Amino acid sequence: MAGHKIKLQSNDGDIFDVEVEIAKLSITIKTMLEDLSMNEEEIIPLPNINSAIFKKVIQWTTHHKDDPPLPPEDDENREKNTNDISSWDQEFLKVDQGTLFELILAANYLDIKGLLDVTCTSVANMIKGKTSEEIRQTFNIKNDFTPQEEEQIKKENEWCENK
Amino acid sequence: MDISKLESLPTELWLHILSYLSSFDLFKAFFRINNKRIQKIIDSQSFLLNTKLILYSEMNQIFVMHSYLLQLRTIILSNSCSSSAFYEYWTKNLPPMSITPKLEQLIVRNAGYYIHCYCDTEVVYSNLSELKNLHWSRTVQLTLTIQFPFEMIFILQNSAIPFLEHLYITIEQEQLRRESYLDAPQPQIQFCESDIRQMTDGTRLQTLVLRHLALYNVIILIRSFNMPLLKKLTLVDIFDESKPQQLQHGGGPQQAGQRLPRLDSLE
Repeated sequence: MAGHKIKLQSNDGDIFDVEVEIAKLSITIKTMLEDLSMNEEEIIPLPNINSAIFKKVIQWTTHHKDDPPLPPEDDENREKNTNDISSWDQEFLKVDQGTLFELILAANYLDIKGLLDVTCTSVANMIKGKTSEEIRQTFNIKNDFTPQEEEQIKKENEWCENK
Repeated sequence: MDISKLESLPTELWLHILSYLSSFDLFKAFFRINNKRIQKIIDSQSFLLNTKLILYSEMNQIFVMHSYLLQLRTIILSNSCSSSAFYEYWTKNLPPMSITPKLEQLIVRNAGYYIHCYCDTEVVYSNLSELKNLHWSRTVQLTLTIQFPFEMIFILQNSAIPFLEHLYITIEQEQLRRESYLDAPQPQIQFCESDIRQMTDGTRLQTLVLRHLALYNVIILIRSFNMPLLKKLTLVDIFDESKPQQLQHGGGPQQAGQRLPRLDSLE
């Protein structure tokens, strides 16, 4: 029923009234409502998502509620296109890294494929073309190799690097 | 767990992100990352190089990054400048497997392009001759489009691909009549029972799929090619040159069988 709302609660206690049709873009919520016969009057807890991130998720799903279903991925050798992020999504994803990764986790938990794809694509675009050193700096990745392990790797790669 | 870091994402999400990267971007970005968990995730990837998706200008980066080539498990060649550049580089490094030792799968799309648009006939011919020295010790499955049936012998020759279990071959120019081989000297090998018996080895072969082969050659192959472990033989688009009107379009194995009553009498 259009306009009909359900209550969803973030892990920091805030309750959100969300249209059922928008909430059902999340397969997790759709399953709760349909398979688990949850009453629409009940408050559905979302223990893995905080309010700030959930607001972003609602913003995204509201904008994309009329999108056609995503086509199935049937070619394992096909490289996915990373250039087809819409300008709205590009603007939506102008967030700090922490928010972006939390959005990925939320999209995964809520099972919203479109949001998961676009956020992962965005991270992939941040990785593309960078060297390991640039990646380490961009994402603040820890070097947890010991000096001995680093030396070992260096030796193993030496022969082909000098080829 | 600090969820605000890429490093902390669960492996399944890492894999999802990596699925958007070409193997070259992935390798370049993480080759020297020196992080044990990430290294483990990267090592789990099956490195596929789809040359059509690489810019021609990026090819030189690939050629100098030998450690990347060492990781490749699958190469896809097709009709692009990058594909052609890679093909030339790869085949000039003899034997090609020395620079791509982990290669398990070679997919050639639009094979005709290599003959008619980019490679002159001499190059094509000499490369097929070089296949006489072919040795792919790790290849278990091979999908290949070839020009003529006798080229199958290069692939099936003794010890060339010793662990080959699944072979999928499409013949592009199947003809019963002997014709000059791309205007080059005729190769010594022929698609005949004696050459197949003497030169080939199919003792590990479990699956054989042949597309667009003349019935006459199917009979030669089945009579002479030793395949004791064969579980599945699929014949698609098999035609009888003596009755071309009967076998225009092939289908699955059952259709082929129905259209080939003589197949019942084969040993």
